[in-house]
Amino acid sequence: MKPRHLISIDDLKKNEIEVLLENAASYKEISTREVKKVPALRGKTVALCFIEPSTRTRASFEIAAKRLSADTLSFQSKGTSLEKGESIKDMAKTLQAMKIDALVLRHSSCGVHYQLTDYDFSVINAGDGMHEHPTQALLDLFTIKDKIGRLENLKVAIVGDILHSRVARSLIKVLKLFEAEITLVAPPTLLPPFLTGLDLKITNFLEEVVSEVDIVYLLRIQKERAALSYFPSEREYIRFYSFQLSHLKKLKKGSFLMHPGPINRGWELSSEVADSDVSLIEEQVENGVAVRMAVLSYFLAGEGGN
Amino acid sequence: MILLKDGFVVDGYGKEEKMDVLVNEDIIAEVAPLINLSEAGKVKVLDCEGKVILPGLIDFHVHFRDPSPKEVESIDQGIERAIYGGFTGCLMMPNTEPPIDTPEMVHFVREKAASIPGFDFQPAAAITQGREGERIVEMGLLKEAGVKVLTDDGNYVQSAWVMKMALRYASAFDLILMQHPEEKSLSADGQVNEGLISASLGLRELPKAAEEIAILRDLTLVQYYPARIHFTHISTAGAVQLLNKAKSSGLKVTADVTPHHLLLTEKELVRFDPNFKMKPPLRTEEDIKAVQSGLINEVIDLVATDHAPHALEDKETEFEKAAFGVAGLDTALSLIYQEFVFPRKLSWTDLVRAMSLKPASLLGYIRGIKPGFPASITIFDPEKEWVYRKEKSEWAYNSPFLGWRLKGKVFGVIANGRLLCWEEKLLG
Ligand SMILES: [Zn+2]
Repeated sequence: MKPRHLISIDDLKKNEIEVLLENAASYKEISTREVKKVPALRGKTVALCFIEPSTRTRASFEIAAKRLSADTLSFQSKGTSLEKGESIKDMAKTLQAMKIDALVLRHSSCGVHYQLTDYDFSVINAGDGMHEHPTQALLDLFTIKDKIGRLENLKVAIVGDILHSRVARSLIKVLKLFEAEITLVAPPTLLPPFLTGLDLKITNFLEEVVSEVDIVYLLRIQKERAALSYFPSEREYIRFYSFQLSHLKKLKKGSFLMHPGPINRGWELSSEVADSDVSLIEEQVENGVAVRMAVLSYFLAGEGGN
Repeated sequence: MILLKDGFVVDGYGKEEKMDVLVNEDIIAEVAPLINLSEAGKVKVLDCEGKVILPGLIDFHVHFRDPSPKEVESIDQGIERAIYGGFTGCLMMPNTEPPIDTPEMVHFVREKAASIPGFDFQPAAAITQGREGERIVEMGLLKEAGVKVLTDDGNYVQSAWVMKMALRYASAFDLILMQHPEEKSLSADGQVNEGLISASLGLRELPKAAEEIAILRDLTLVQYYPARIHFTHISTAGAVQLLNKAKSSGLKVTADVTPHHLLLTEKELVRFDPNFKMKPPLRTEEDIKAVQSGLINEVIDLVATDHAPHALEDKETEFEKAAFGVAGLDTALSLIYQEFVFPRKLSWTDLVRAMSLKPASLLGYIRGIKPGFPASITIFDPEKEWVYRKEKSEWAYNSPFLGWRLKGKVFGVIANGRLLCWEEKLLG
């Protein structure tokens, strides 16, 4: 059987996502047990290869794999053979020879995963450049369903650096599958131009949407990226796009705040807001493990067979 | 209350006729053929027989050297000169030292202008931080500080990527981006228009192409990234053509021209007088004809002076070392009257559109001699003949029009109800 890959949200059908979310709910329950382990992937090998630095996502995948009893093999960005100039193709051949079952790959190049789809292992995208981060979007969806209790008729505002965000790209796709009303909130310079015909609302001001949405999803400002030259200053960003206590007061009852982490306190949101009840940031991290368990088992244990 | 008696009123909206104008506090209360007041004691009656009453002029492009390490026309001195020249408001360029590129700097210069109440003073802020052409300014915070126009004037925003960022970002805040169109990699250290004059004088050239390439690039950018853009001090026939084409295609673009680019050619430069040195440089006969018809046909929206006072030592020096820029606040109205309205190339209403209503609308002010409108009024004596000479020691007279015999002079100015100039003299 040819392995299936999760590179983009487009690789999943809506009913598959629903199954994944249901499975994730059971896996979440497992994580509350004293023995947090099931034999679902016993005998399988999952390679975790993070060419771009990441602590959270890598840890989340690793825990997920281990709780499923898979053997894991971890490459980090420093010192990988890729960094030493090995081609992606040669790395794939090596992994193939090692008979791995899945490659969880984070890479700074958009779409690099598509060059790895003809081997005997599943490719799971843990973030490729500015392209996609599908497991993040799935865990966000799971978190929304968990807290709000539905996925229908959602109004979601996605705030910040849309242009450079793989999280936003995956999230928009997955929310669209469930026909959410999405508003992008950003300065025009952090939005791709010509976003027409996509049925997305756009505004340049956070204050205009806070009182109307179920979820305010704050994107991380990548201070290490060129993003900084796309807007004038920290204080201007904070004035127009940072979620502050004043916004909190305007939020509808039963609405929540999300962020893919790690947060820059004082930038995307104030510290008080980050620690408030409406913040789902910790839940997102917790749910990340359960959702990735669901993804790995679905793609490796044949649950997601063709 | 002030009653302007028996003046010839140009209301700005098409009416030109003899009327009385009653000003109550900061508002025009009444405009009628004959206003008689019972409570005469409370009314200051000003005889305007033979004078023209215009909506208060606004200069869309002035430089005051404040803050600056040099002592050349501070903000209050500059505003006084503007009033003397018939202006009731102006847009100050941000190329001060340090430049106006933060809300703090905007508050700082506004504070200085507050010493002359009534005058509509607007500081423009830079497009890029430090006017360096790299990172855009805090447009949102500047907008909240009341800024309407951004410009790196003196510098063209050379990087197309940065200009795209600026256009995109400015569109969220409905700010006007004003470009000084000069493609620097082509104009380099040019001094005068490229042509026979630069050839015969041996001075380095400022090609027309540098201006037109700059305009064309930005017109291309705004087609893809819509925002409000204004081109200042247009000087070439080709530039007028580009604007004409852009406007016919429906692009939201505006432009201004200076009195000197309307009236003078590069031929003036044969004596190497630095008072004729400015950017863009004086062009050719063909160009001034084109900018003149551009103004008449409304391809060019407004007349702005680009008033640029310089210290004597920066002008009385070798031509190539001399600073670019000329003074213009105290001659603009007389020149446009004498050269356009008097010979009937423009009507009074046209002049008012180009020097009052259009700049006002871009800056969010209201102008017009109509009841309920702000009482900002310019009173002009069309009969007065005078010679432009150095008058005040605190003003810089680096003007190409020094010694010109001029017809018509500013007689009085009321700005937001305050009488700031009367009988050609500054008050207060
Ligand atoms: Zn300029």
